[in-house]
Amino acid sequence: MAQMDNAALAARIRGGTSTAPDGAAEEAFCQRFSRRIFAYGMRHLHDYDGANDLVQEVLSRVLASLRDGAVTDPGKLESFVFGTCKFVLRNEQRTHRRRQEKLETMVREALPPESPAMLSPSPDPRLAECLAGLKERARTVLVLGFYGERSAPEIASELGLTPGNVRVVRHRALAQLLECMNARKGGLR
Amino acid sequence: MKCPDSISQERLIAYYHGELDDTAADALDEHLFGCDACADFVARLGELEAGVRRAVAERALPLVLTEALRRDLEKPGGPLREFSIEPGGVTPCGAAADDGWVVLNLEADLKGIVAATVKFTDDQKVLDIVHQDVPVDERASKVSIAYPGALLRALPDLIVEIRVVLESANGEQQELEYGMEHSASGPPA
Repeated sequence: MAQMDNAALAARIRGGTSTAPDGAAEEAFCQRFSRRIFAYGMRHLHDYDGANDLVQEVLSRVLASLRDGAVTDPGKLESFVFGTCKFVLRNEQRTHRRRQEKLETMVREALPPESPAMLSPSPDPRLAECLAGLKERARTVLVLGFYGERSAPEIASELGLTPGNVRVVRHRALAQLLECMNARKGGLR
Repeated sequence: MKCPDSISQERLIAYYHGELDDTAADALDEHLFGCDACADFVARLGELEAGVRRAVAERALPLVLTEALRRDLEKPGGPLREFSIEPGGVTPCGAAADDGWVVLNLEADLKGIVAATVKFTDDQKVLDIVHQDVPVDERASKVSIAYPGALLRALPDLIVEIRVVLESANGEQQELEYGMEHSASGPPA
């Protein structure tokens, strides 16, 4: 199922029924797209819970559309998922409360019961240990970027550096952090 | 996993931090939905962001303060408790029960200085703190570090020596000393 292309996967899901969905195909769809949606969500929301909510809502909507045959070009499933993400984000603020209520219902009804853990895990508390292992300049650049939501030029201005220097420090710090997190997870990633 | 378009990690990091122009960012938005390598990397950046935010919110470790980051930390709970020391000076200090962060301002002439090392020792050999490669803005008149209030409240009465080595762009070093008298019963009245 993991090797199946998007068109074939969409066809399998379309072939299921409301009372007998193709659980394996739907699970494969969720596996394939959840991380992509999460990445998009974090890039635009910079909010962990918001990104996970986006994953749930977009997967639910797209699965419903696939089952109903509303995806007219299954070969362009990636574009359909992308478009759904943009639509949901655009409407997010205006319909936030209604969406929360509707989301809970949709998730209950739409997602396959055997779904894997689609959500990214909670922020890892071991990250603090890895952060503590960075030198101060590296840690400060990451904190200003992630917590302070500042760009490289803004960080450069605050620290009296050049934007290019900040980008180099940032990249090295991220690489060190990822390596530290990988080591703590036993190299699973 | 490899990106078929060979998009670099530097580019993805810039994308994540909103540093690309709209056309390039839109293109990468769409690219994420067809590329597991890039989606996974951006998702990991998202997880790191969530972890850094959590570490700061939970006051898990000390932070080098810029003026902008100081304002960020003050937003949730109001002004921070601060202690300032001149070179050769000694100041009493302590953390009150409701102090989330306690800021130590080490005043110094930072003109021409690019980095600092800050080392703490004490009369009871309790502290083992060294801050290496502390970024320094030569326009500032102090090196400021925020410590979790909980960290200070856990300390007994201590006579603390702080050694700061300031490094200039040409490699020259200058050493300054500061002192603190920490009281476990809290800050001076």
